Amino acid sequence: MKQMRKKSSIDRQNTRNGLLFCSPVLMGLLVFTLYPVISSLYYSFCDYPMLKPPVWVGLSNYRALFADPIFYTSLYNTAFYAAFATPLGIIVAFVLALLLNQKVKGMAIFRTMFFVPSIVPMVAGSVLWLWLLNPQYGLINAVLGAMHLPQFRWMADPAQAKPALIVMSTWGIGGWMLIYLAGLQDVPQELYEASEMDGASAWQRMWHVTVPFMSPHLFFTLVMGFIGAAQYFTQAFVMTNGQGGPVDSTRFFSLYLFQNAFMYWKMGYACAMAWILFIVILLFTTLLFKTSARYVYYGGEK
Amino acid sequence: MRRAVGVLLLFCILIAGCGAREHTNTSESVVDVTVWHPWGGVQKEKFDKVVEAFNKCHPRIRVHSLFTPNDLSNNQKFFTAVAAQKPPDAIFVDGQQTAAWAAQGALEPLDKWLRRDGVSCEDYFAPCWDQNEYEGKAWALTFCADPNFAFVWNKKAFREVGLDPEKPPRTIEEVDRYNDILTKRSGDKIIRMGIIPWAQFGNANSIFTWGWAFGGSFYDPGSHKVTADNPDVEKALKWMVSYARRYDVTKINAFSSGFGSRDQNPFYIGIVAMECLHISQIEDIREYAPNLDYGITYIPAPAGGEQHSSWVGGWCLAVPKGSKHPEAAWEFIRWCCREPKGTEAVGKIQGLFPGYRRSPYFDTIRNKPGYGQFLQILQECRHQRPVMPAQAFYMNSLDGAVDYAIYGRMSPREALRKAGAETQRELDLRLAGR
Amino acid sequence: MCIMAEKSNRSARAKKRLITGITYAALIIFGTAFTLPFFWLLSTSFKPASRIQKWPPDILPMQIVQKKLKGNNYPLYTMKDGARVVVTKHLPGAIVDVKPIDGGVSSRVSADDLTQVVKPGLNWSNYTLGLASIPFFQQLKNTLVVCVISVIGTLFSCSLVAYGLSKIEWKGRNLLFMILLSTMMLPYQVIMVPIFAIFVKLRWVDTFLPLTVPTFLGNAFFIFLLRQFFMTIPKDLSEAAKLDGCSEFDIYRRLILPLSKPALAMVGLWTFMGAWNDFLGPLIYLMDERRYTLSLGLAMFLGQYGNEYGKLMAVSTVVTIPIIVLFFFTQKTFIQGITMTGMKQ
Repeated sequence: MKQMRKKSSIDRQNTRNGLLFCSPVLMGLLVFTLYPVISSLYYSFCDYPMLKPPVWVGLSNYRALFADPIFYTSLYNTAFYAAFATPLGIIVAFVLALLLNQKVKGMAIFRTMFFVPSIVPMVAGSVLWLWLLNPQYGLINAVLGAMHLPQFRWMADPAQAKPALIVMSTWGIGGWMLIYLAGLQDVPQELYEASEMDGASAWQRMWHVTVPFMSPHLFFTLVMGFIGAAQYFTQAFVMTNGQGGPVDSTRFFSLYLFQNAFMYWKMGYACAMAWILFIVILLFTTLLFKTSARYVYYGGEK
Repeated sequence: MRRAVGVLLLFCILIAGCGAREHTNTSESVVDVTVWHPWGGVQKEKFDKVVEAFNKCHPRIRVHSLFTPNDLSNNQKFFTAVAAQKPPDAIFVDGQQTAAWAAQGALEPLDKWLRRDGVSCEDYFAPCWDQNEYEGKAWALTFCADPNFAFVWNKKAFREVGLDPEKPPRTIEEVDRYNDILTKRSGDKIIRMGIIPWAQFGNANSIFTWGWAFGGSFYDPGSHKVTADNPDVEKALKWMVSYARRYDVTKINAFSSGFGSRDQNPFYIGIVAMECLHISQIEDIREYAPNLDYGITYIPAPAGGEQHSSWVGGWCLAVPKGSKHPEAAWEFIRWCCREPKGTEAVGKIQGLFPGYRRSPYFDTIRNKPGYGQFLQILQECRHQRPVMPAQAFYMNSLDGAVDYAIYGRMSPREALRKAGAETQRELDLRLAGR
Repeated sequence: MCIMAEKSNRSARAKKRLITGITYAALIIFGTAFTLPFFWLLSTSFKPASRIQKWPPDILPMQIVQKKLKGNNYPLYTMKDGARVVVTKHLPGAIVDVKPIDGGVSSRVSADDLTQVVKPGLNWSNYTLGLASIPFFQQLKNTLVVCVISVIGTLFSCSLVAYGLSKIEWKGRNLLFMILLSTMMLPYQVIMVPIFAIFVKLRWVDTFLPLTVPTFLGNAFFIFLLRQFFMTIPKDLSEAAKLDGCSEFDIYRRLILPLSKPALAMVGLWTFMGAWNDFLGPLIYLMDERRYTLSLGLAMFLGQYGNEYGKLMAVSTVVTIPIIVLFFFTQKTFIQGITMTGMKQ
């Protein structure tokens, strides 16, 4: 009996201590997560122009959204970006990681060259790329011209603006490259040796040993990449002066959301957009996870 | 108990004394007034000098100025300040925003002060006053009246291509013809353009400028109807689209994305031969391109359009709702916008035109090159951008409409109709109180 | 047998050399592509304004050569015949009076017949003017304030919570951890508007408070990282300390924290960088120009002086340099951190 009482008093003490230590995040969850999530759901059903209190309007915001051509434009823009930037980023980062894994001399220098761009502050990087991509005087067109390749109009052409941003995004994949590099160094050598003895070429070795072994890492960056791409905002905002032009070709979902909230002061409308984004992200991530069993292997299986 | 009463009495006397001192004009207490203004860079220093001049002759009021970038559709700072009840005492409002800010309850009406101090609509150029009146009340006074625009041309470029440098285009047809001669290419790139119709301070301002020049109108205040699809406005947009098609809009915009500013301004360095000029640029040219050989005249008009067309822009001063020192703020506003000395200071120091038509400043510049022409333009000015609560939205819509039209995504009629319809919807919502 | 083995060895070696060769070539090509933007950034920042909008662009920054005459500097030009002259007078119609610098008679020519004389060099005016107009030091101070407070707040709150989630056995700890993880899936846009409304009501808008105070309430990602790290510290150590009569807080402060220096350093570093880089927060909450951080200041600078590319590049360089310097001093920590996030959960 005494032992049980002692145990439960220790339990109570532990619970108290645990809660105490976790109190910052408990407060944070309440104030900055739970309350805002419920409020924004509520606001999404209201008309809420900052200066006046919210007024319930039911589904009117959602109905307006589904009738809003720019809503669809912004969805398309974001989907386009996510569909191209994420895979491209993964491929480039993986290729670079493979190259760096070859243990050539000077690896540290190259690794630095590939990684440093990813820590350049986003705004500074956007400003730099805006100038790089300048169709009249920029370096990229200068290089293309020197190689007698066609020069593009980049951010001045609605058909080229998104591709320009996608190209720009690959400059910053240094972080993913490092993740892959670390993973590559964990691939057991025996697997390579075994497949080499089976007569596999370098290419086959990569596909049948490296990639499956790296699939958890690739999957992780795929999910994170997708979630990040769905929220793409800063570069587009900075490089188009908050407009999303030309002709709304770079008006991404998050940008349009921001405009609605802080430029047009239609906060209820913006909240409705936010919830739609959330649901889309949830659905897509669930889909990715559910199908992951088919192509992700955990723990070096062959 | 007696001590407490004594202290209380002393306290009351002191307070009454302060109050009395303020009223009898021998006070030592200075009222601090904050005003938020939209000028950065060089204009900021000039405005600070205007503030200094005011402070010098108003010993009981000290005005502090704060620069807030007031992007027309981005009034974050002001609105959140009003929402948090921490607004400035006076605020600069872009002329076309007055109605919106008034409708949202962010401003105080000025009528009681106007009546008391004898300020009336006769004191101002008509469009300047019209900008500030909404629902029968006056919400702001014009600080500077920008006559938009004068039309300038690069004489050296004209000479180079064989055009008479003393003969600017007077009709749209001449503009087109001159443009074809002046535009130069190098390979695939444009290296000089005669004129870029939609690059007159943004798409929306451009369509306003040319829309009125073509004889159109954008809004009917009587019926609260947005008339973006007015046939003459459509003609103006069609004219813009003709350039986009003839020269490939992506090439033109690639060209313009390389433009510099200040001493690299495309007109100053001659890569754009004709454009609309803002009054502040006269000083600019004197500073950055003193050797620029250019001429200045009225905006050309198409046949059947409006001769010497222009519209008034510029900044106005208003008192925000919740201003802590509205009386002192009004003193500042009245000095800058209505009093001879104040308006003259604004003109002389900042190089801008007062809205007060009888300001002595005008006599000093009547014959000054550049300014004289702008004065003539101002005196014939008949338009101001629509005065209604959805004006910022309208600007955005027109911006998009011009974009879609010149990129060939929509016909000019469709684009303008869409802009008009969505603005009308927004306007109706705002007028209904939502 | 031996000969065949030799032959296959040789071909294997040749194959290896080929792969190495291709690897080097690819690395050099990619390396150049990744580094070229930095070169362009620096080169443009040192060019005088008049030579930035130029086609084809100068690769190296070229400066205008000037000649001092009677106390003033005049740009030097060459005429079609190679003579070096300065312009003494501008006349209408783009006619100019020129005077040769090595003595000689003035002449009148068309301005188009002159070519400007340039030589490679560094022009610092973009830096001096750009940093003054942004204004750099004020924004640097603001950014540092936000960054330092964020680091303190994050380290303090995240380590506490991570301790509570890893070193104390209590019911509900796993539930809390799961809830915390799930919040990482929440896009910030969902909570952006209500949080803004809260700060407006608190009148914290246009101060640094919305950017710093929330860091004291924990960050799911860093809590997760620190928890994983704490769990690698053997239980026996804390058990021993408890037997000695230490309270949980003592164990936290005197045992766990010192052992976790590398993880804490990483969290601190990342928080600092995140705060330095943060754009949306300052964009929404900072309105007084005097309180702008570097990110926001640079973006506003772009909006206003959009076409002053020289100044833009100079300011961008200065905004980027501190982070790059920080990286070079803390490379190991950085890289460790990234690889830790990629670890299988």
